[in-house]
Amino acid sequence: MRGNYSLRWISVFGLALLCSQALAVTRVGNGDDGADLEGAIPLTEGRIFDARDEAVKLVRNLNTAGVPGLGKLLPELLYSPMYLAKKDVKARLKSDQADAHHDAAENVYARTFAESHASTRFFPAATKLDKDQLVALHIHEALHRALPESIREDESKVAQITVAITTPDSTHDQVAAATASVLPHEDRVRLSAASAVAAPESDGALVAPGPDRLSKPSQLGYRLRVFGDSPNATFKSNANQVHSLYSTFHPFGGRNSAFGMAVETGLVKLGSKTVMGPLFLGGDLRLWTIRDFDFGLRGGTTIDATAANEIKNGLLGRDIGRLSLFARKTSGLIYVDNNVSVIFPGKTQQTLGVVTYDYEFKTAFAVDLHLGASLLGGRLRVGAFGEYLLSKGFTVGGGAFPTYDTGAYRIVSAGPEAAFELDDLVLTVAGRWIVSTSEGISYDTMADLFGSGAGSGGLTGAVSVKF
Amino acid sequence: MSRMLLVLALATVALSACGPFGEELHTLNAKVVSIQVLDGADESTFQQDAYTVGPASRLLLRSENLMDKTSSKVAKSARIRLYFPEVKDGSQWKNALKVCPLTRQWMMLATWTHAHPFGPPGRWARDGGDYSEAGCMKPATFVPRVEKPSTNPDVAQEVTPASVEFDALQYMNDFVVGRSNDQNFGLIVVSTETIRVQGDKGSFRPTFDVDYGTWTWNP
Repeated sequence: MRGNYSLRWISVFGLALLCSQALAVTRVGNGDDGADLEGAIPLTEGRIFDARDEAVKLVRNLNTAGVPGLGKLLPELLYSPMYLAKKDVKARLKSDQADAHHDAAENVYARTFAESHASTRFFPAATKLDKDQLVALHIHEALHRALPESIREDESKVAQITVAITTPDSTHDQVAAATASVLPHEDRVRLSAASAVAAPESDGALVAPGPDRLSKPSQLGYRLRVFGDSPNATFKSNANQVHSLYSTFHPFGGRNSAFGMAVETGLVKLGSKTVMGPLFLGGDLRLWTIRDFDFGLRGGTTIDATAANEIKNGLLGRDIGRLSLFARKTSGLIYVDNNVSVIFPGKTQQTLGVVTYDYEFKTAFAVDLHLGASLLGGRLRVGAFGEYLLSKGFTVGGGAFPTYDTGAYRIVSAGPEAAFELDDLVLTVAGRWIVSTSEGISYDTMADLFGSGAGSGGLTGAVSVKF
Repeated sequence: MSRMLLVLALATVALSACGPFGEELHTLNAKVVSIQVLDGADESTFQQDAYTVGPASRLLLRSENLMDKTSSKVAKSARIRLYFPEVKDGSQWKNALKVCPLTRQWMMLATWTHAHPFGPPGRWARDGGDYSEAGCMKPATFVPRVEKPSTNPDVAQEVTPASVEFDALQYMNDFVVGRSNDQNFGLIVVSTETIRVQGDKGSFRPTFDVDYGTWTWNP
């Protein structure tokens, strides 16, 4: 998490840097007797484990993979096994002597071997560190394994790069400059020639970006949609608000993939009445990652079986099936999210007096693009989106009224969006307004309350908890 | 000769007793459209005990499957009857009231401005409904309200509301017979004065009474 690091911890690393300059070059190596491994347990949860995700997020946002010398930092952070020793050990090794490695009582925080894929051993003293300090510790230990052999055991140089990465408001260029200043010339040339690539190596496996999303991909939240009137529309559903509860659970999949299930239901305000709304059931599957793009499928169906009669008896009563293919990327300060959706045909009926009308909806397609800035280490996203929806329309007929075909129509909309994460709390707000539409058409014609909404669009706000 | 007369007599009796046509009463479904009501699905605009018809509101009437029943028949006479729940005699409206054939398809979501709400083609060419002025029917007969003692001890009186009849034979021949149900546009009640008309929920709903062909029913 950028921008919120303890000044004390930065000063510790800074002091470590100064101290290590005064000391002879300290070499970290396989000099311990392995006693600290006795009784160690694999770390799979807890604060130290979660801090690794924050460290990964920080490193990704700085795009360290593009910095000569730091190409292996991200995979070392992601894949290094972590253990928690049962007992503290005193700082006896030369590698422990830097202040970054131990507390005031000289209890060591962590150790690692300066070689690729080595594990990181944490000690109970590390559990007293706050989140920012743990993030810096993760990065420091990973640097010992990731940096070129010529400098990875040099405590002062490792500390210098750690400070550059963890300093608040640090930038990619600052990290690159700090690394270049400590990297020997011959290593700088060799690594630059190899050309840093965006995707870190990882035994050929594709790494799913956005570990912050995958480490806590599940959500539980409340959403409010307020729809605007569409004065030029010839058909109006009278839906003006939807209050809903939603959840997205991802119990399946690994750290690099996730398959989740989504549920949403709530109350709909129709005119002055509030009635029970439909039920949405869906799921999403993150398929794969390539060149820092997340690809996945999202789909679901809105079922009106649970809805009140005022919803069921009319266009809003249609069951809607939707399938979307999404591609998203966060690169530095920019996020981009593309979705291509198909809304499947469906039917509904409406009885008015003694006449029953049959509605048959045809296929619709939607393409939307989200673009914005990812700030504060990805905690704040501010941007805008646009959507082009093309529907083949629907037919309606009943009684003496012959089947009428509305024909195809389009709806183009746009609006701002923002999302803010405070630890596990997520706040989102978005606006949607129709920019262009076929004559007499509004989102009421689509009758997709949980999707595109109603009327001319409107505002959506949500608050949720990630877990 | 006597045998021939016998055959003719039997045929007359048989055909007279078994006439498939004769008089049919078609119930009319009603939908009121008014300047004030913008929502076509408003439940106060259909299936009501009574409707207000006047300068700012009109009543659409239709028998949903009328054409299916009449396409091959010849009408001898046809009458449209409306009831007035709140007056003793409707003759005061003989110049204000008329029933006209609609010339446009509509559905139960119709409003003052639209025959149906699904796009620009649904808009009436003229607010309040598209109808043929030439085909309008003026009141032919007024029947005053009738009140008589009830034979049911729980009911004080049996009341037959005042009513008006319109001669609809020309309407049958010009707008109904020989047409498919797609062209079943129905009727519109237009009034220059404010009138309460009995609705399509209850006993004295608007009716369309047609006497078909040369066959008559002899029970």
